[in-house]
Amino acid sequence: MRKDAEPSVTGPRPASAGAGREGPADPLAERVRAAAGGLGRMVSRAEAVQRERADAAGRRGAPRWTDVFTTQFTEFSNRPR
Amino acid sequence: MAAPWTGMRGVVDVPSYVLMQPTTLCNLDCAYCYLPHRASDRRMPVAVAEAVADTVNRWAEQVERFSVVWHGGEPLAAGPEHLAALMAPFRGVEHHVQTNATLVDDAWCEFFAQHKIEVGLSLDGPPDRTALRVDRAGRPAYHRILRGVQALRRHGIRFAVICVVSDPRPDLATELYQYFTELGCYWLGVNIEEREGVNIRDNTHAAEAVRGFWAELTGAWLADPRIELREVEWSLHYLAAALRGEADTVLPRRRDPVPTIAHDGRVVLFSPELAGFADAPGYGDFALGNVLTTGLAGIVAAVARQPAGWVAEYFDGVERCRASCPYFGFCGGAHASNRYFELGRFDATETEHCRNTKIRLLEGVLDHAQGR
Repeated sequence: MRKDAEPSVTGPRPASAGAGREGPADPLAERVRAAAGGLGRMVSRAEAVQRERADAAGRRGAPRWTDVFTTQFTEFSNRPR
Repeated sequence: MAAPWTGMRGVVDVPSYVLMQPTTLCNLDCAYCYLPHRASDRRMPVAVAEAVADTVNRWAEQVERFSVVWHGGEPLAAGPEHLAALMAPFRGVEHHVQTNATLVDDAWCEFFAQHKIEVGLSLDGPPDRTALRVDRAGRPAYHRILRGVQALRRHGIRFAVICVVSDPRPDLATELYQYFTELGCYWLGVNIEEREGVNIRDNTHAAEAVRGFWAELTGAWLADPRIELREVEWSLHYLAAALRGEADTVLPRRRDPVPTIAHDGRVVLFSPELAGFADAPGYGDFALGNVLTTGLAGIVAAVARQPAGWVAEYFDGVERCRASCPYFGFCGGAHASNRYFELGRFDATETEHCRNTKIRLLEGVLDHAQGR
């Protein structure tokens, strides 16, 4: 293992349940649980910002897309929302 | 043992956008560019656009929103008359350009306004951070890019920015974020430089540096969230679902094939970076058809119905990601182009791109949440 490699991503792993899905030795889920306090505050902030943004778009008559996150996250996901 | 991730199985019937290459030419020669043939002006014939529109106009009637993204080369190098002719056959779509901005002037701004084109720029930060964006004489492009930005501002045209970061590290993140907030873009996407296409520059980085970059960028956005920041907001969207125990609901149920149409009508799916190659050993040109001989809908449907060749290999790779990677619910599997250009096969799994742009991104956001 490279010294700087994330311990959670190198080498064989169990079939993962991912964060929020109970699974044995799921390192990402464990990380999310450990960060839950600070993460919850960050999420609340982000969601408030996104609501304000959508409201502002509505006030100026711009299309108000409700599918903000339905496109895939790729480097070409440059569609304005 | 929990059930495996359930998203990204199969291919959607109707994509949400297509990428079009109006010309292979770019007037710049950025050090990290992945595009072959960018020194030559191979223009898309109008017949190719008409063939694409024949499918896309029907797709656009079936979805709330459909985008046609004019990518490159440098799309504006095709010239306004030709670009207008290529756009003319499309109905009921949003048009976008992703431009290096060096050709943007008052006339182009009027063109954007007239055709209701959404504008995305490629810019990597202040002059020293944009130093890899140069012309063929090696001259920095920064001031020409800024002239384009000023023209957009004069005309009140909003713009997004895609920023390539070649040396991610914590102290860079705040500097970049402040720069882009002052620049006036309303949306920012941050791409860590990728080793793909004709770019063979090394993209390995120390994990702590990359995580630190993303953690600091997260902090910068939270402190002043005036622009949309793709990576951080997408991460928080995913992590919010994870907190609710709904992480498996975030990915689309089926994969968008992201059809990319090269200048000559050849179609690649899933990874635009695969377009334009002719002789990849064992894989040929990656093209899955040509719109001049087969309708785009037919090309996509055939691949969805019976994946073959490199696509079948790629789907095998996706399933390997699904079975082995804790981050699959966030990213849906390594991109096809990164697998091939980094690891030589489409069924390989974890890439440097995965590490830099998906894994360390999520970990960096979590680091910030834990005050690290």
